[in-house]
This record gives sequence, C-alpha cells and structure tokens, in this order.
Amino acid sequence: MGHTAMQDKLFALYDGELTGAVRQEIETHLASCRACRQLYTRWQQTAQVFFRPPHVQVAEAFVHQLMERIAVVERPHRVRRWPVAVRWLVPAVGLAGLLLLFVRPGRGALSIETLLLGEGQGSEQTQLLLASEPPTTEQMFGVMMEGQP
Amino acid sequence: MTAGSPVEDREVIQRIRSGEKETYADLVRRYQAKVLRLCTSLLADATLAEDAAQEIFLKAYQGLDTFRGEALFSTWLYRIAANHCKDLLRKRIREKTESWETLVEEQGEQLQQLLTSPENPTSSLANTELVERVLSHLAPDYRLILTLREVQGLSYRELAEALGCSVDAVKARLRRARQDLQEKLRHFFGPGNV
Repeated sequence: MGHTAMQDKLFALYDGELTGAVRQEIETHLASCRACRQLYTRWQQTAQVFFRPPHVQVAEAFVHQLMERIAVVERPHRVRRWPVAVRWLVPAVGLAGLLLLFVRPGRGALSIETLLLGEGQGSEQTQLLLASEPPTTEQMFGVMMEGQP
Repeated sequence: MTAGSPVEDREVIQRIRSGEKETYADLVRRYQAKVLRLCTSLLADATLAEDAAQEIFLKAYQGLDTFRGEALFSTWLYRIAANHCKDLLRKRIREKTESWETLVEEQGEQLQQLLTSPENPTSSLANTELVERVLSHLAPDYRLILTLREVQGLSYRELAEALGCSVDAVKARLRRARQDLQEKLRHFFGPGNV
C-alpha cells in the first residue's frame, strides 16, 4: 500500500469509516508503525484543539425573526395606483396651462407674427418676409429655371 | 434540539408546498442548532453566524420548490449553508493582510503551548482567538470540509452530497486539508507525542 493510500486509510479509521477486516488490518498496522501512529495521534490532537464544537444558543426569537422576513418576502409587491379622477387631473391641468399661453383672455388670440417677432423686435429679414406679397407662379417658375426671381 | 427524521421532514415540506407556509418554522427549529454551529465554527463570530444562518434558512425556503427529495433535507440544507459560508470566507480571505510568518512570530509560543497541552481547554478568549487566527490561514474549501467532518460529524457520503462531489474526492480533499494544517503546525508539536 502506498503512502497516500495508507494515509487515506488512517484518516478513514479516525473518521470511523472502516469496518471489518480492513479496520482490523489498519489497526494492526497502526500498532506496529511509529510514523503512522505519529500521524494519527497528531491529527487527533490537532482536531481536539482546533475543531471543538462551539456552544450555540438556540432561541425562538431567531425563528420569529426568520418567519417575519419570509412574510415580507412573500407579500405581493403592490404598485400604488392613483384614482382615475386624479390620474386625469395632471395632464388636464397641463393642457389647460398650455392653452392659457396661446389664448390670453382680454388680449385676443396670439398671432404667429407676435410669437415670431415678439414686440416688433424680430429680425429685419423676418419682418420683410412677412410684409412682402406672396410670390406669383411666374416668379416661382423663374427661380426654378434660372435661379433668379 | 434534534433533527427530524427524513420522513418527518418530507411531510413538513409537503405541507409547506400545499400552502401551510408557517410550518417552515418547524423545520427551522429542527435544524437551527446544526446550522448555527456550522456558521459559528466557520465565522467565529456569534452575530455574523446568526445573520448567516438567517440568510441560509431564507435561501432554503425560497429554493424549497427545487428540493426533489433525492437527498435528505439536512444534506440539502448543508449544501446551501456550505456555499453561503464559503462565499463569506472567500470575501474575508480577500481582505486578510496577516501572513502566517507574522502569526508564528507573534504567537508561536502560545501556539506551542496550546498544542503540547491538549488537556488545557481552548475555552479562554485568548486561545479562541488564536485558534481562529490559525484557521483563517486555511483555504476556505479546506476549512469547510474539516469543519463539516470534525465539528458536524458528517460521514464521507454526507460530505460528498453536501459538497456536490464524489466520495473519493472527499477523501482526497480531507487528506490535503489535514496535511496542510499539520504542515503549518509541524514546528509546534512536541517530540514525544507518539
């Protein structure tokens, strides 16, 4: 039996995993082999120092806390929905505000010229454009053919 | 607080699946001590261990539909606990700065005393801290398998199921873990302990 296989058997003996003839064989070997006995004893000692079962305190509070957490996780996630009347209110108020911008009570409807030129401070070009007569069909044709109005 | 029989566990799980969610508390009561013991051994801090145990039971509850009953509920729970604690240990090891040499330099004498007089219990706070400092130098996989075997008393077969590997792999990993720890401690054993 190789060194590694023997170590596995020794640890298996220590772990209570061996039975019958194999167990007897390893126990006999252990009694006669100093190196194996040292390995076995040292591990026994190590485990005794480093792997002592800790003292734990079980409490009903632990169970309650857990069950409360589970209840929270299980609770269906609700999306808060406003009543229909309130849901319509926001866009309605927005729309009304927009309309108020265009239709000023007592000052008449807001014209496109006022919007573009403000209080007559628009660019000269825009003023000229708005003041000029609409082009005739011949003028339009001339622009297309010759690039001249 | 003792664990229930596999039949009892299966019955409780059946009841939970059929809508009696509150019966999960019975399963928690059955396995609370085992899970807490494992977490305390691995994390060496009562508060952290309790938090970890809460997470483990919560994960188990959420995954109860995936429990097919091929393994024991306890083994399945150990698997969840092992994975959770391993993640925590890995995180801790990434933050670790102390080298083995520093530990030996600072506490070599106490370590030798601890190992050469095993009748001296590790109940004192200083010894408990020293044990934790030594174990924190083990790889998470090694610490986990040694704790499951030595503290929780799992058989090779149960270890294989809990760790998701073969019995041969369990034997090999256990041997390597034990060798690693003994290699670290080799200078501190007295010559006459054969």
